[in-house]
Amino acid sequence: MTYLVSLFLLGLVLGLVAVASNPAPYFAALGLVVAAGVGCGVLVGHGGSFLSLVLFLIYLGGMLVVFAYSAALAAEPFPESWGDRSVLGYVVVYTLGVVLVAGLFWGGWYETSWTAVDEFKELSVLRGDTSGVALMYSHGGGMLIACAWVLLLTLFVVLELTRGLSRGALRAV
Amino acid sequence: MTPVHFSFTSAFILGLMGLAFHRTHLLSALLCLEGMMLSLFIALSLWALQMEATGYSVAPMLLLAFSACEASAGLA
Repeated sequence: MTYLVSLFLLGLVLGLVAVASNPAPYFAALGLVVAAGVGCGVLVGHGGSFLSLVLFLIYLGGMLVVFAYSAALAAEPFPESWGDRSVLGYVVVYTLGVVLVAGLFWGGWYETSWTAVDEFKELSVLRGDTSGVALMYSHGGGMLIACAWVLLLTLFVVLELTRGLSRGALRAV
Repeated sequence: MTPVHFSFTSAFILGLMGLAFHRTHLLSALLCLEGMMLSLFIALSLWALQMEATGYSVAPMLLLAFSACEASAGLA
């Protein structure tokens, strides 16, 4: 279990190395999908099953699908993958950087610092994060209204940004 | 710094560097921004879970809502 969570942490860092080295958006979106998937695994290993499901549904199923469609709109005939010379340079530099900084911290990472914290103190249907999020609907009602207002505002912002086609600030896609 | 904290900290810094050194596509810069948001989501969730302060579990959800807003504004 500890080994699995450690593998997921490694997957998270490597996935973001794959995104940060700036290949074509196709491949960067793939790296982000992998990083979000193993990030969910890390959260589950720490007992946050509800937050992990939220991440999968909203982030991967909502936002990254939209990003994938936008990447398909911005498609180019020869996308740069991680094997191309310029991108590979970034990948190597970022991986070496992470390994070097991890080497600085390596001395303090004994066996017990890798264990996942997930405590089953008693049998319960309600997990901690599920009941914590339920607070958003009771005491956090004001924040919920603020979030809904911000989302509505963003809708109108986006509609204004994309209005006007070639006459407006953005080109016609 | 524990390995878990090191992982999402380095993930955030990697996303930041990818955003700073972006090359041709604005979309890949936006994806690096989304990677930073992902690492912040994981950081806030792990903070609420490891401290067993369940009241702070709301924070990652709100972060996700606002990052959806900024992603859509960036894509537009």
